[in-house]
Amino acid sequence: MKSGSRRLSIALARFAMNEWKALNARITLFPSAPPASPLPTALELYRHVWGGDPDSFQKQQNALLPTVAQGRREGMMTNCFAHPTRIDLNLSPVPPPTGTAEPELVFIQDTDQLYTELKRIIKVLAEGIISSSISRIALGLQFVAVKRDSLEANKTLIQTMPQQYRMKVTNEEDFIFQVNRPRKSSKVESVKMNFITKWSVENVQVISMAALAGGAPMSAGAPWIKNFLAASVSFDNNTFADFARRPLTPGEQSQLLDESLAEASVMQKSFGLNIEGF
Amino acid sequence: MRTASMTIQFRGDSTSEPPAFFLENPPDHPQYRIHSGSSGSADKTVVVEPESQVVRTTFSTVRDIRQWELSQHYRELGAALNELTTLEEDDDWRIDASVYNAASYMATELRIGLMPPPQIFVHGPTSVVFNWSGGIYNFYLTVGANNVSALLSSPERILRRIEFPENKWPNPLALLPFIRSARWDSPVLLSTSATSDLPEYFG
Repeated sequence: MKSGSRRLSIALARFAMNEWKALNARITLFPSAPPASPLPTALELYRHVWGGDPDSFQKQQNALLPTVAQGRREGMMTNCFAHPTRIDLNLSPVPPPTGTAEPELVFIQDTDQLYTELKRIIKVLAEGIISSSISRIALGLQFVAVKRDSLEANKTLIQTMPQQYRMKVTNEEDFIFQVNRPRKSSKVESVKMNFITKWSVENVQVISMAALAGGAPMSAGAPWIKNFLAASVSFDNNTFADFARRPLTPGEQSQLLDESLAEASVMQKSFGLNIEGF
Repeated sequence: MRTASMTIQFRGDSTSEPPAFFLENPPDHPQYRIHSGSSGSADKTVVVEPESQVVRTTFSTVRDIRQWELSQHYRELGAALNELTTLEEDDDWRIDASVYNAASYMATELRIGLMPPPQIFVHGPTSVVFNWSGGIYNFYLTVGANNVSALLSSPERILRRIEFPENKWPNPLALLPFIRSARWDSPVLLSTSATSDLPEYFG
């Protein structure tokens, strides 16, 4: 217990020093067509991946919308979306306690733990816990640095870009720049991968409102809205959508996700984000 | 004879973002708590359980009204598919669970590909027929548990019939010329994707 709190203190100290924070992470699996068997619900998948019941589960009455399961693990929100054409496993920050006065933008504080959790999920997937055949995988990560205005956000963002992409921007708004460096996988033969990086300045709006147990909004008082401006670097590493390709084995899914994570890790370092644990 | 110029606007996209419609909440569920809603380029509401805070990204561009319309139509299609599985066992309109899975998958692919929404017919428990019409031609896409076939017809005759091999489903892009033949009056904004994020058109 003592070493656990020490570890948390160290993580918090490092967290405070680096302006770049982890906002969310995602592992996605795309079932093949036609679906050989019914896709498991988000509830079943959640139990497989996180080894216990979620805090909440949302069924769907519409064939084209996902089932959703959500819980908390290792200081992060964990949620699973199961949809006919994709399964998403998301990690995001734990929201502040209900009743917190001012809305705040929260981050995943322990990025060491985030990395460990991603590695763990990737390992679990190799065991073939998802019975559906999978034709494509993806790993997404988003890191942000909150800034006062567009000028600062643009400046911060441009500094993280490789020299050849750096452009002159000052106080322009809604900056977005995205590149893809596709190449063949080094782990699984004949699989082509997309390695996508997106630099953007994002307007993030946090809305607080009083809610009763069960979800009904309390009638009194307007929601409290606060806007944040964030320089954002996100990675979306995934395999090509190839309709002709045979499904990926669980081992291949895991290897490709590992490769995606390793590449994101290398890239964030080269951009100077220096996320702890990656 | 009517002719139409065909304008296809490719939205080349290699990301894997989940489409925004994927994140939509049914209207009978309150949406208060949102997590990881800031990775894309439009308002996103990942709704899981009612709590006290919402996080979303806002965007200056104005969304295309056709996307919204498309969303509504596909929402109705999804609800209709759902109903077909909840009917009584002996109901003529009831479809097998395996057909439901296959049809849901195909409908989602069509939605992601921004195809005009089809009408839906049932011939029995073993298949669902998606139909596009609106001009001279009719296009029928029959989806079974493991097989897909396509048929394009004019009022006089069958113009083309394709049987896709078992377990080899067509890329929805391959269906576009047929759908266009039947729906030449309707614009198509075609989307191909390499990204894995949820694109905004899921809204």
